[in-house]
Amino acid sequence: MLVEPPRPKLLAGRTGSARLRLAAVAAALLLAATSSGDVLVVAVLLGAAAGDGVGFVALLLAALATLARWGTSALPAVAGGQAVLGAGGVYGTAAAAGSAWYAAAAVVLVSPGSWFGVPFGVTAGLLVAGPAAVSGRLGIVRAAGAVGGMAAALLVPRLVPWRLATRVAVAFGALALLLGVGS
Amino acid sequence: MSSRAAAPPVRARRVLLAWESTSRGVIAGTLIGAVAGAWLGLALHGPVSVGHLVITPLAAAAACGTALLAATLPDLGRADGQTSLLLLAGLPVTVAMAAGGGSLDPLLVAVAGIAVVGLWPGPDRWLPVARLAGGAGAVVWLVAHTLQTGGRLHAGGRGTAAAMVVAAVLLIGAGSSGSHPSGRLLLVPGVLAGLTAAPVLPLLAAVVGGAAGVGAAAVRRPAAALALVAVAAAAVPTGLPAAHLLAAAAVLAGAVGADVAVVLGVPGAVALATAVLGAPVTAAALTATAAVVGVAVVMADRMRGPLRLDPPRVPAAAVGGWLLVAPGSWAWIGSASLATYDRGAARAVAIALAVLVVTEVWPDLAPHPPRRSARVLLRPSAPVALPPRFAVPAAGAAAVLIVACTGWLLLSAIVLR
Repeated sequence: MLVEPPRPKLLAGRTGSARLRLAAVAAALLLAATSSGDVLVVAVLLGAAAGDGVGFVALLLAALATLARWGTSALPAVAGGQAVLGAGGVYGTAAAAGSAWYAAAAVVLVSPGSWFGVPFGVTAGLLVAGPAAVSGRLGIVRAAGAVGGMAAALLVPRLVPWRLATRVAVAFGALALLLGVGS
Repeated sequence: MSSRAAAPPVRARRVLLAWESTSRGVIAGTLIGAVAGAWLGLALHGPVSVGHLVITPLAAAAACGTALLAATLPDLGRADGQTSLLLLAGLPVTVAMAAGGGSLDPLLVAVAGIAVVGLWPGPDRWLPVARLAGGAGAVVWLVAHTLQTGGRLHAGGRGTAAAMVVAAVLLIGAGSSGSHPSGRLLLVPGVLAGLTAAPVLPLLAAVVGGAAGVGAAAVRRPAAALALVAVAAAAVPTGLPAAHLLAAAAVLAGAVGADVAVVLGVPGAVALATAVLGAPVTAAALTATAAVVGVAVVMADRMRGPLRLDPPRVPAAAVGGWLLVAPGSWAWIGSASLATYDRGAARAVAIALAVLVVTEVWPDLAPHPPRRSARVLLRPSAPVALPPRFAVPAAGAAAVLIVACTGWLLLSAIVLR
């Protein structure tokens, strides 16, 4: 006879998995939108939201590229650096700017689409054009980067097959890391 | 009709968190929580002197981890659980003595004892390689310690350091044995040996620890993987705080006992990244970084199974949550510059909990994630074990060797000093 106590299992079924992924999406969105926390933590949260091992590799490479380019993994420092020096996608050497663009592309390519893709877009925008909004002009730049990133994160999953997207994302992430180290 | 045949079919469900509780388990969990909490209090409130023994924060933290690992031993109320009670009380003290600069001899005797018990063949007369590794690691460490001067935890020279690195890898490997619960107790001594020896031989520690860590991740041993990359991280200049965080994550992952516990290594990985960026570029630093990335990638691909919690594991899960959210409050790890991480993690956990609560109250608000194919790149392999005909002779030889070394150690400790 099979006897189970009442509610022996928590977070069971597809709903539990979806809820955890939604929680990861919300946490990543908060960190990326407010430029708080650590870029590696954002990569882990986005990896949990994507739910794919290859996609996680691409996100990790993009995070390491950001680390190599800015010399810190703290998102406040990344945003503050862009506020002082210029947006990540245009400031610095060609290698540094290219690193930011390739890292953002890797993040966008891993986006699962729909509402779950929003933090991917915001994170991509933060990497390319994510200065701390200490003035109105910088706030507009930041908002434009986030909107552009979200649009790309919502469109790319509809246009590019998933397997191709994740593999290209890994290649872009590796390229971003190489350029970030060399910048 | 059998009772099993009469049972109604159970619909297969994907479970992420399973909770199992008994009244005896609640008592054991309370006891373990009290013991571990006392050690954690010592770790957080600085050094404490008990007679001529000084318990440093690091030593108290190691003792706390040992107590949490002892919680995973068989039920404290059963006949074979009396040993668990003894280990829960005594083993943390020996660990605290060794990690705090006191005598290493009691811990080495305990390690040898645990290894001997672990080497005893089971009813199937098989001897998994992990158990043999524990015995070999104990022997190597005993010999290395006896050949160097002084009775404290240190690496006197390159030869001793090399032996300690090898012993650390073997003991940590034994600590990952799934079939032998007491083997997990070898995790803390293995980590202590590795963290002590790594700064003396950084490249060897980084290469051996990193390669073994990725290998442990490939066979889904998160605790061993984290412990081994902790040894590799200790080889990085200024990387000791990161190594302490990774070691704490390893011990807690061993106590929690689920693949998902590998996320406890995130604070250590962040601290290691900071340390690598602030230190000169060396081969050891690059190797340790690659090892951490490799473990993360492999574990992300192979992570399986639910998180099963019962009352004895609750204290470890609670401490693990603390490590994940506020590692910067652990002063005993050293200066790791985790203030930014702490702030971000607190916000992330707060919003994640809010989402979970809201979707629990209003389930319809939770959108279904887009469907994506989750292709498995690597398949887990079967555990490696010796053929049965070699099991008993190998176990006997190793046991005799360990008993002889233990006698040698006791003789040197009692008579010669």
